[in-house]
Amino acid sequence: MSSTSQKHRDFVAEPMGDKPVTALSGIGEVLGKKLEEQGFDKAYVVLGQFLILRKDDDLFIDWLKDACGANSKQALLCYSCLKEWCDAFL
Amino acid sequence: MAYLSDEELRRQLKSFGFCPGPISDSTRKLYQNKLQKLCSEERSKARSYWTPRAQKQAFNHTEQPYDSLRQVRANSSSPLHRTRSRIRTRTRTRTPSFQGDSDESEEEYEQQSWRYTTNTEPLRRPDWQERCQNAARRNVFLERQLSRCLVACTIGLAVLLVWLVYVKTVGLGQSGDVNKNIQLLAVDCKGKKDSFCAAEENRLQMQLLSKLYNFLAEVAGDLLCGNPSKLKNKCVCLDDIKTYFSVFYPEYLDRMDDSLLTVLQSRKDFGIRLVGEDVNTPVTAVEEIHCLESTHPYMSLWCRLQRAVVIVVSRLFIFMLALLVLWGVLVLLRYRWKKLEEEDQAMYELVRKIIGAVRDHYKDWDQGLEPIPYVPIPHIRDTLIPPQNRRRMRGIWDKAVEFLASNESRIRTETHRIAGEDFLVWRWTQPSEISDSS
Repeated sequence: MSSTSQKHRDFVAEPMGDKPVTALSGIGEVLGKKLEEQGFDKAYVVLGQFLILRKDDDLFIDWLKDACGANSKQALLCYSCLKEWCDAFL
Repeated sequence: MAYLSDEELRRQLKSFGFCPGPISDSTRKLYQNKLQKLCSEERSKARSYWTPRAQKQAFNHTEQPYDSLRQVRANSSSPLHRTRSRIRTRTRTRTPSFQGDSDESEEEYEQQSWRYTTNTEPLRRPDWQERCQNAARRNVFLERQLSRCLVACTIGLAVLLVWLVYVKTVGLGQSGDVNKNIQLLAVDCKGKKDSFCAAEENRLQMQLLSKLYNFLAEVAGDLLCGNPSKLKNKCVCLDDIKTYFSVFYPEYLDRMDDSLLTVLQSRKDFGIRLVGEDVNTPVTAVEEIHCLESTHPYMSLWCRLQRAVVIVVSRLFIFMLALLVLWGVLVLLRYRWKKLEEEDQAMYELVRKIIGAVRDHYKDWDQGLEPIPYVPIPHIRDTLIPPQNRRRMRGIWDKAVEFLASNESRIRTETHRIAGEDFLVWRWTQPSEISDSS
């Protein structure tokens, strides 16, 4: 398995609580700001969108690219981060 | 397509085997794009002609670009599969209410869902087993083609050989022409010089020559076919011939010189060559004749066959050599493939053991028997491979580690410092107890 980043590991290690959306792996300052403008100010709101799309990878990645202009790599990181979190805590 | 209602959109997505979540403002556009993509995929698949093998290969190949995606999906394969099977049973129970068109869509749905699950869902067996089988299948197929080719070549060459032998056998046989020259009518005549007697004389000479021919041919044949009477030369001395005739055919003896003269002067081919003292100069007078030899040796069938086989084989030598080389190559290739397969098997066995060992370590940690959740790679190696095999299995171990790094999603490779030394470690990342394929 390819190694994961520290951000990913930190996010997946505990319940997300009130963490901001920039705590998600793949979402940095710029993307975080764009998401906040659309109303996704906390990580759990993005989680909500992820769950509404039934955890589907293609749809979530497409949505993320569309919503904040992420590239494929960033969207994939975010998806895998949320997926793993759901597997561990949901 | 952009003006479909939510219900219609949902129904169409379901007909492709894809189950959408709630369709709201934020998700509507996504589902519309998805439907468009599915429609165009359907259309392009219906147009192109795919053989079952090409299709299967394509399924294997379309996985490649989504490598990273697949790893992520592999983490969640089972829940996805469970939801799909639940959806399938749900649609089944709905058939009574929508009889006609939901039957159709159910069939289509099943077909599509099968195709969809093989396309997007990772293979139920581990990837590497499927790849191994494909490689083995390909090897066997190549091998079979090569064998078939060689068998056809061998049969063709054998037929050619037999035909050539037959041709040579016939060619080395007696030609009828010479004998025809010698056979004439039988009449009694002596001392007279009229034309009839001349013809008679001619006839007797021919008979003499015929016997001479047979004798010489036999001598030559004996010489060529094993030499049982230990002759040195197929050219028989004139004195010896006279001796022979005085024993067997005394009535012809006085005509010997005349016959020889006839042979000398005639342009027809009698099958008898007159050789003088000096081998190369042609003979012009009867007195110069030193010995006689046959130009058409008479050999038995067995002898002719042998000679024919030898000649044909020596000419076909090169082809047979090439054939032998090809057979040798095939044998070598087969041996090599077998060896490679054995190595692969050993590697997969080792990989299985490693997975078991890492998982056990994790379980121990879970129960509190181990202090750390990950285990260093060299420790696993030393646990699984006894010291006397470590050097021998180094290659297989390295291949197994590489395989795990790229193909196993439940084990993660990390770097940690343990007791002051940096180690590459493996961590088991599958938290729940899901039934395992191995």
